[in-house]
Parts: sequence; structure tokens; C-alpha cells
Amino acid sequence: MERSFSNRLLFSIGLLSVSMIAYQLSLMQYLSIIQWYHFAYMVIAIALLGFGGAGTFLALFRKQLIDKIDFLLPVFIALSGICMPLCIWLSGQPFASFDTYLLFVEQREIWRLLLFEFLFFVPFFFCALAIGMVFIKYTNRIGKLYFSNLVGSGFGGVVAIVLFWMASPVEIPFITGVLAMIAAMLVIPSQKRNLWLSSMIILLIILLFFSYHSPLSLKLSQYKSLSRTLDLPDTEVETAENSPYGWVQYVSSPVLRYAPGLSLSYMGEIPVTDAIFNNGDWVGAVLDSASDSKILDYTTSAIAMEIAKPRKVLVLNSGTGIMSHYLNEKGVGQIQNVDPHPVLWKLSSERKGIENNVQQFEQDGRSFLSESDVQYDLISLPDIGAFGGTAGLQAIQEEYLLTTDSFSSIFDHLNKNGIISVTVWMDYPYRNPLKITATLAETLTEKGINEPKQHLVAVRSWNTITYLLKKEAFSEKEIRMVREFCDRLSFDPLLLPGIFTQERSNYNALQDESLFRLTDQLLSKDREKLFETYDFNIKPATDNKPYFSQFLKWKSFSHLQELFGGQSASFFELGYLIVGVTFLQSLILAFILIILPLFLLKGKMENKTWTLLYFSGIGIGFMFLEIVLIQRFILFLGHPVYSVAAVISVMLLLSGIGSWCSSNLQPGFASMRKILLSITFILILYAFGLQWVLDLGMELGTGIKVIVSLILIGFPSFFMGMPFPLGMRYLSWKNEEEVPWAWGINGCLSVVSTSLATIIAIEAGFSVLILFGALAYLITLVSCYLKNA
Amino acid sequence: MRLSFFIVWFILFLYIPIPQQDKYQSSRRKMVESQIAARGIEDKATLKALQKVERHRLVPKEQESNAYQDRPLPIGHGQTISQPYIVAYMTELIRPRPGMKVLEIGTGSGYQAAVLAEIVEEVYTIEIIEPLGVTAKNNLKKLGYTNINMKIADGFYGWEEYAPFDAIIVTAASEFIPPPLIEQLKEGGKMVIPVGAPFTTQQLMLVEKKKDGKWKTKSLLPVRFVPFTRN
Repeated sequence: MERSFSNRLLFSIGLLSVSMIAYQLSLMQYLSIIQWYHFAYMVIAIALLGFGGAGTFLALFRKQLIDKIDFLLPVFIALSGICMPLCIWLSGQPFASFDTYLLFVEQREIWRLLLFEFLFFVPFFFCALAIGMVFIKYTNRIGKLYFSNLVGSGFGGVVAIVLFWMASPVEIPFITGVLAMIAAMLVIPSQKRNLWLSSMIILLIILLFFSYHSPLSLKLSQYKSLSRTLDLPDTEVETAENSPYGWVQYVSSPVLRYAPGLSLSYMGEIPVTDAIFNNGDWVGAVLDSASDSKILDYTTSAIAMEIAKPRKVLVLNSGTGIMSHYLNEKGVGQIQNVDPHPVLWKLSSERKGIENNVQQFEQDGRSFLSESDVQYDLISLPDIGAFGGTAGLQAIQEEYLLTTDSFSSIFDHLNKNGIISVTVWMDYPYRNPLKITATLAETLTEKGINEPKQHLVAVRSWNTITYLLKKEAFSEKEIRMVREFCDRLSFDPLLLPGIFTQERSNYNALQDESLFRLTDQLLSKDREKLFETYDFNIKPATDNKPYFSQFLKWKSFSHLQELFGGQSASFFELGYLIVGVTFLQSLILAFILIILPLFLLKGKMENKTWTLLYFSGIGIGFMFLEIVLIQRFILFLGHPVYSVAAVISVMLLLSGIGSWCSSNLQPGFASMRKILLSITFILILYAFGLQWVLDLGMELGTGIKVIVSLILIGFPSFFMGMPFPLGMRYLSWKNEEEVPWAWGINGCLSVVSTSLATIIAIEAGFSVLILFGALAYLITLVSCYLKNA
Repeated sequence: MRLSFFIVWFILFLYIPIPQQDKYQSSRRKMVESQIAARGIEDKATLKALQKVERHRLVPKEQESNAYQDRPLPIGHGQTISQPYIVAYMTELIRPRPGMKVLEIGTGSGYQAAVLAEIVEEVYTIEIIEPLGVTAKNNLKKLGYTNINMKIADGFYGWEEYAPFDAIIVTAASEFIPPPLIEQLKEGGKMVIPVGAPFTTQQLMLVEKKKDGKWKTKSLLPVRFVPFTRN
């Protein structure tokens, strides 16, 4: 191969990988905006099977494709770039428009979903076809080509983050299309060069033009809270800002009001508010004036200020700042707000300004706590759940602030008489109130408090419950004040030292009073039994399984369907169900894509068992570790965006270097076995030691944390970049026909393992997930021994 | 001559208005028997009203064939028409009688208003989303209801000119109960509010304004009325 072409090819593959990863991340955001995160997750999982599909296609038509690689390579790359925005445009047309909420309601939505998934499959398919062809044609240089692919992918993550700051969600697909088009221009054939070049330049200009004047629009689901709000009269989006944290919209309306769980005793005015939405979902109200926050005096969340006079308060995930306005109005001397979302705070504080006694920290709550040694009189957490339930849409959202580890850390930041305050929306069947009770009870038990009931107070209105946890036992005076508060505002105590049964429903009766019995059981020694027998998962979340809002127990699902009807039961836990559906869909498709070449190329497959085990194992193992590392580093680095960027970039970069270095190794089982054994060993070590190391390093400075992150992410990644090129080289030497099939298997299993990893993480935790990753590499290792024998 | 006579008759046949046959009558009867009465709704006036109101004429065209199924249906703008059972249950809860004046917040499809209008004297209904309100108004007019008064406005303020009301049904629940609604409820009156995300099994809340001006809320069990816990 000519040297200049070789370099151009490396650069083209790198640039195509940059554009594809940036497109994938922007597509994730686009789909999260028009639908929900879970939907984005499902569609992209299927779209990524384009890699598996390309492998199958290559396996079937290898000769024809490779013979015409000079012509087809730039065509496929260009098609991938054109399809990036084109598929988004097509998906917005009436014949394809789909709604997640209607999936369980209208049968035709299933067909629309399949069409939607197919549309997004196309750009990934063309991209993978181009990369796969290059890998197969130039197997002798696979180490460097794979390096280019991995480094490009890693860099794509960084490019996506930059694009999120600079461009709107409807512009980014054109920009990534431009990058792909440049990648295609780098590999145009020498014959009819001018014709090729002029065609490409025209396409490039069109894409560039649309990058500035995007014809795409964001058509949100009618069930998104932003859509429903914009249906209100004279309501409009005043400003919108994009960032890696999401697409934030500031909405003004003359009819929006904020008074969650307002007492029915209140007969005054309810102030009109503006609101902020993120990716089309409600984030919080923005008050017109700070004094409007006084309405909170008539909600259950006022109970902390009713019985205590805190001087120093910490507001975690302060959102649009309503709680701090309220605390300020109540005369609190020092208020510290912590929220990781910079745009949110910027938009809300621009309107209302900040008082001198309010400090704002742009940081994740957990990492703020780990770095701070300040003690507080009151620590306030954000509200949990939503009015009328969330339909389980937060089920796979990691909520590190609501784990027992988090509450333990919050407890340690309380003064002697300090209080934790958290408000929960009522739901039915009871889930959120029970889980938070269980979490508070576990926290108190862990702190060696034998009588948790003396340290807990909960006050209930018709739709909210506010829980208080006090470091010291509540005094008689405070208990009396709680009762007076309830009488004045027609609330009922749910938890109170010395509570009487009848006072639990003086004003707000429940037809199903099991809430009282279950709450009491959670505070007794019997709670483990309740965790087992209750139809929902109400066991407290931990840092190892940080899914507070995941309540579904698969074994109870049929029972719930009997009680509430099949359709309704689906809406209790929509989020986790969609993960299940995603896993099944991708598993079936992957199976078809993998099995198809076996039938059609029966005689030519000589190493099928080894190829299947080896390339499945490394695909699964890599993804499992990537997902665990992203999760583990959210807490360590203080924000999901930093974690995703650091893990994807470092992991792919170091894997790329590993791949490059693998060119110097002999392509045989001896090398493979050594590498695979090292990886398995490292992963087992990580399963037991990673969390411990990260916990130790939580208090370190940012610079040292970055170095520690580089080492911990990079060390296994370096080795994990080697097995793929080694395997490909070995296979091309043994039987070239199987190389594309191996590429397809690796692609398919990488996708299937993403949803499988989520399910394992929810059910068993991250430590077990790494062990499964180690197991996957172990199977790969065993396959090498078997093959050798 | 014979031919022209035949043609005249044929043309007259085409133009003479014939009462539209209600092809969903038997579906409606089955719905009332199997979904409503069988699940414990006993109020005769409510059952009769549900038997009479042509629900299929209040849902979007594409949902017409689903109109008598036991589930909520999408009506656009992120709103749903509640499942028939919920409408029946909400109606029964306020114990409707002739001579009553009822306020509804959130007209939606207009079905709840139509059911109430079959029983009570006057129904006042408010819808904030204009397209929904216009469609419901037209549909209700076509169905011939004259005792339904409707306006497109913010339900927060209720309808002060016609207050107090014997009962209030809030079909579009919000995170708080607007104080003007409490004020516009007669002493001894009842307010019903459904709680629940779209398409879920809705839970109902009953607010009773006592004679002394105080009030009490009660959260009622959702549709199936079986405690869901295994314990």
C-alpha cells in the first residue's frame, strides 16, 4: 500500500470514528429531548447493531465488496455522513412519528418503533461497513487501523461535548455529517478524481449550509411536560441553551403556579411562576420574587423551619433555588446551594439574583460532601418522585444522592442537633415513601442508633410527605410543635415519637392504610422480611446499586398485572421494562445476524466455536468494564459528564495504544493467553478493590484525582485493546472467510452487553458486573486453550 | 313516468334525514354491564347516564372503535379520556341528583360533562387548552346537550358567577388544589380529583367540605380495589 494512502486511510478511519461517536452522543440527546432517555437508549442499542449487520453483510459478500473497495469505501463513508441528518429528518415525518407512551396502548406504535429503529440503523450500518472493509482488506495493519478507530472514537466523545456547548441539537447531526464527508474525501480513488472531488464538495457545502440553517425541528412527544406546558395559553419558550448537561429551556407563562402539596387551609393567592425544563422535562419553577417562596409555609416542607431555627443550611441539588429563597426569607444566616448544572443556576439566578448570604457551588452533591468538613444545622434534599407518579421513567437513572452511603455522609455533616429534610410525592402503590423510610432507617441503624423512631418525624398532606431525620432524638417540645403544625395546616403525622394510630389520618384519610403498617415494619427489626415479600423493590439503594427509583421485581410483575391490569402495570415501571424490551430485541437481532452467515457459508467456517467465544467474550468484557468505570467515576470526578468524557476518551485512547503495540506481538495463542490472563486478573482485582481505592481518593485535590483516574482507567484499557487485533490477525491467517463474521460478532455482542450490563447492575450491582466482565474474558481465555489443544 | 317517479323517490330517500343508527349501542350496554356495574357501581342514575352517552362521538375518529374498551384513550395534547369506570366512579362519588349544580375543571373530551348532564340540572365546565375545548364544545352541541355551560379559561379561578357548586370534579389534576375552588364548593359539598400519570391506573381523592367550613380528604384505592401487597 502506498505510504500516503496508508496515512490518509488511517486519518479517514479516525475521522469517521470521531463523527460516528459524536453523532451517537448527539442522537442520544436528540432522542432524549423528543421522547425520553430510555427510548433513546433503546433506539441507539438497535441502531448500533448496524455494526453487527455490517459484519454479517461483509461475511456474505466479502469478495464482491473487497474487490471494489476503492470505489465503495468513499461511497459508504459519504452515505454514512448523509444519513446522519437525513434519518433524523425522516424520523420526524408523520408516517414515522412514534410515541413511547403509546407503545403499550396502540398496536400500530410497535410498527412505528421498528421503522424508527431501522432508520437509525442505516448510518451506523454504512459506517461499520466502511470500517469493516478496511479491517478485512488490510488485516496485516489491523493494529494501527484499530488504533485509529479507537482513538478517533475516544476523541469523538470530546468533540461531542464541545458541540453540545456550541450548537443546538438540530445542528449537530449536520456537523458530524460534514466530518464524515471529509473522511470520505480522504479516500477517494485516483480514477476520475475530479468527478469524485466535485461531487463530494457539493455535498459538503450542502451539509455545511444546513449546519447553520438546520431544516430539522424538535417535535416533542405530547406527553412530555414541556409540550403540555406549552399548550397553556400565552405560554412560550423565552430562551433555550444547549450544553452537555442537557437542552435547557426557560418558559414563561401567565398561568403556571407552584405550590406542591399546598394545605387546603390556605386561602390566599398562589403566585404565578416561570419554569425551567431540561430536555423537555420539568426541572423546577422560577419565582417572580423571592417573597413568593413564602407559599412553602403552607406545605409539608415547612416542617423543618417550624421546629428548628437553623443558622447554617446546605441545600443539595438546589435546582432553580426555590428552597434557598424560602430559607433566606425565613432569616437563615448562611445558605450553601450545591447543584452540578451550571445552566440551570445561571438561568434562574439571572432572574432573581443571589443574596449575600447564599453561596452557590457548581458541583455534584456527593463530591461536595466528600470535600467539605463543614457541619450544618439543616441539610435539605430535592423532592423525590413526581405528582401522580413518574411511570417509572427514572428507573435506570443513577441517583447517588439517595443511597444509604449518601445519607450516611449527609448524617456526618450534621451538627449535634442537625436535621435532614426530604420531601416525597405520594404514589400508589406505595413505593417512594417506603423506600425513603427504609433508607433513613438503615442509615440510623448503621450509625448505631437503636431507637430510630425517636429520630424520625414525617408529616403528610394529601399528596406529599416530608421526612425529618434528626441526629439527636426529637425533644418533647419539638414533638408538640409538629402536632400544632399539623393541626394548623390540616396535615397528619406519619412518623412521630409516641404517635397514636388515630392521629395518622385526622385530615387526610387513606382507603389503603397499609402505608402505616408498612412504615412501622420498616422501622422494626422485621424490615428485611418486608423487602422480600413486598411486590416492589423497596430495599434502600447503595452506591453499588444506585437505582433509588427502580422498584420493579420481575417475579411480581404478573401479580401486578392481575391486580391493576396489564396495561396499567406497565406504566408503573416503564423505564426498566424498556430496558428489558431493548435487551430482548437486541438479543434476537444479534442472534439472527450472527447465525445467518453460519447457514449461508456453512462449508467455509472452520473455527466457528473459537471465533464465537473469543470475539463475544472480548465484546462483552470491554463493554461491562466501560459501563462500570463510567458509574464509578461519576462520584469520584463529581459529575456524570466528566465521568463519561474521561472514561470513554481515556479507555479508547489507551486501548488504541494497546492495539498499536499489539502489532509487535506474535499473532498466536501464547500472546493471546498472556494478555487475556492479565485482563482477567486486573478485572478481578477491580471487582474487589476499585471502590475502596476511589473511596480513599475522594478527598484528594482535582489534579491528583485526574492522575489517579488516568491510571485506573488506562491500565486495564491498554491491555484490553490488544485481544481484538491479535484475534483478527490470527483469524486472517487461519481462514480469511471468518474475519468479517468475527467483526460482526464483536459488534453485536457489544450492543447486547450494554442493556445486559444495565440489568445486571440493577439486579446485582457494579462489583458483580465487573466479575461478569472478568468471566467473559476468562471464557475467551479458555477458548484459546481449547483451540490450542 | 314510472322511471321519473322512481328517481324522485330515490333522491328524496337520499335527502330525508334518517336518525343515525347508533351501532355502538350494544357495546355500550356491554361496557356498563361488564366494566361498570360488575365492578360495584350501584347508583342507578350514573349507570343510566353511562348507558346513554355516546362516548364514541366524543373521542378522536381513529379511537372510535376503542371507545367502549376498559382503558383511557389519547385525545391529543398529552391528555386522555379517562376509562369509563373512572368516570362512573367519580360521578357516583359526588352522589349526583336532579337539581344539582356541578363544576368540572378540565373538560377534555367532554365525556364526564355529558355523563353529569344526563343527571344533574346544570353542568359548568372549564377547559384551558383551546383546541380541546373547541372540539368538546362542538361535539357536545352535536349531541344536543343544553344544560352544559362551557368556557375556555384557566380553571384555577373556578366559575365565580355561578358559585357555589354542589360538587366539583377536577379531571385535570394539579399539584395543588386551587383555593378559589374550595371557596366555591358549598358546605357539605364534595370535590373529586384523580391522581396518576397518563394511562396509569388512576387513584381518586375525595375532598369533603364539612358544615363547619373545615374539610377532609380521602385517597381512594384505584380501579381494581384489591390491596396489592401480598402480606
